[in-house]
Amino acid sequence: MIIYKNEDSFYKRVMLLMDTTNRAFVEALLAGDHARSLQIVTIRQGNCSRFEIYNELITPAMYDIGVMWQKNEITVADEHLATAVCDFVLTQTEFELLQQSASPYATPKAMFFTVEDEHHYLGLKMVSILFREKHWNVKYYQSNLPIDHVLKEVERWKPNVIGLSFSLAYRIDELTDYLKAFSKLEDKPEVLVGGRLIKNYDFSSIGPPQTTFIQDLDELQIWFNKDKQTRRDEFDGTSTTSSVV
Amino acid sequence: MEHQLPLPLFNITDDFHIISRSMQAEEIFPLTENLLEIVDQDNVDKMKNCFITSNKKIEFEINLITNDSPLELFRAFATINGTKISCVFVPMGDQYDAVQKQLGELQDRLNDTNFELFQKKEKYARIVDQFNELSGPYIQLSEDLALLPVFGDLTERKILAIKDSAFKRVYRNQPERVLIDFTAVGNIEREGVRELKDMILVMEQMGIYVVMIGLSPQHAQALKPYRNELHLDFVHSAKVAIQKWLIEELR
Ligand code: B12
Repeated sequence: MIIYKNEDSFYKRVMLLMDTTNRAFVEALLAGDHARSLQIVTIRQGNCSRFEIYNELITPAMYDIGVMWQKNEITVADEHLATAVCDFVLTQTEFELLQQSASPYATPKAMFFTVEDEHHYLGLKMVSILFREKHWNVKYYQSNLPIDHVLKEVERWKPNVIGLSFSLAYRIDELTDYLKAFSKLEDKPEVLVGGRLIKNYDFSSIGPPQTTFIQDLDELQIWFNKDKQTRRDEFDGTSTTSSVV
Repeated sequence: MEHQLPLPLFNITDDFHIISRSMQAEEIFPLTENLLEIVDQDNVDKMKNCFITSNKKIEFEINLITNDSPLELFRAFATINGTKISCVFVPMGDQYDAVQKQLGELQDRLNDTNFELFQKKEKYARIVDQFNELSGPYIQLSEDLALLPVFGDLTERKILAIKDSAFKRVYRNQPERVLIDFTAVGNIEREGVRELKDMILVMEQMGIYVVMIGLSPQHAQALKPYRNELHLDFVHSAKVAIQKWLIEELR
């Protein structure tokens, strides 16, 4: 949320406008209105990055929808509809990136999926698109990938990063199984774990060394910056982080 | 009474202490003393908030812990009578699974074909109809007796949705009597009543006795204009109706 110290009428108007737009977006999602939802995103794209659209418009909208369900204002049927529209909008924001997509051998590579039986994938989808935007070679498997399948694919494709997501509290045990299996891999890919629960619990005890738990997109941005630095250092042949490019 | 209902029912106090439960409830849920113990942690606040109301009847969705699953979605229908509360849970799981699969297929196509798929909106509207249909599940109680409980507000769109599947089932099973249960019906729209009347007329033409149960005085008032046209039986409670026809039939 943006807090303006200088509360003159101009900023108030700007804030109001932003407010209605966010609310308008929630309404469009719930109405199943693809056109209007996409229009709001397209207008925002005029002066916002993909990152900002995801972080300040789409994620809060889905969280709001969760709150509305908690208040008994909408049903899971509405959530399904909103999800479908949201997914469509996300795909549109990815469209131009897909046209410049890399060869299957390009590096660095990242692969994304949700743990078994976990169908909450919108956050993961955003993250995978942000990796693509940064010219990663991305495989996005969406949801519900069994562990055996994952391991086979990891051994074959050898990603540098494995990103996984989970939202259901009772799936924590499965998550641990995945992380254990990854820690036994020869190539030691870096594992990123995200989802709404990261904020609420301390996961440090279940993660093997190369695992990073990421709360939200701001933390992902920090990770991106660090990663860029490391890659540059490697490229320069130094192992310190002091080089400035 | 609660032992005859084909759905899980709990009688509870206003602090969610369980006084009694139906056989179905015993089978589906862990045997806890407090109803909140079978509510998913992320849903406890919703459960509590829903009961902070002056309404006598409430309806909401809630995720519960069952014997088979750590999380399952239910639609709850509660009647509040002072400190006495009855709460029925209708499982939604499979029903949403089907819809989810359909939506998934649609999404795949949407993502493949890009913008041109705006027209698919109509499809989503149809899925909303499916949910309406689920607000009037047809339950065959015995060879000759079927129950059609209607949940929520009575709208034209809802009856249109319910009607379709009800007719198919009635036609296939040919029950002697259909009990339409209004216990969980809230507001009634005039167009809804007209549609309901048509549905009942068709059933009567198929040679089926239609019995209305659980009508409130407001419901009865709304149906009054059609009373002469329809040859309805009215019974006040589900209990009496089920005793009268189901128990007798079994003898
Ligand atoms: C939309 C929604 C759904 C949609 C799914 C949407 C989809 N395809 O993704 C549908 C309707 C299908 C659904 C189904 C269910 N849901 Co649901 N759902 C939600 C809701 C309202 C919003 C989720 C969402 O889209 N958030 C927006 C995204 C963008 O946020 P996010 O996931 O946190 O992701 C951000 C960060 O966490 C991070 N991130 C996420 N993943 C990753 C991965 C990496 C690698 C990185 C770096 C970062 C990262 O970046 C993202 C971008 O900002 C939540 C409510 C809530 N408060 O979260 C409930 C919620 C998660 N669902 C819940 C439940 C119970 C279910 C069901 C079991 C029952 C039901 N309601 O029907 C089923 C389960 C299906 C299954 N087996 O998975 C519960 C979970 C309770 C619990 N104890 O865990 C919640 C909390 C609602 C509630 N209060 O009851 N759900």
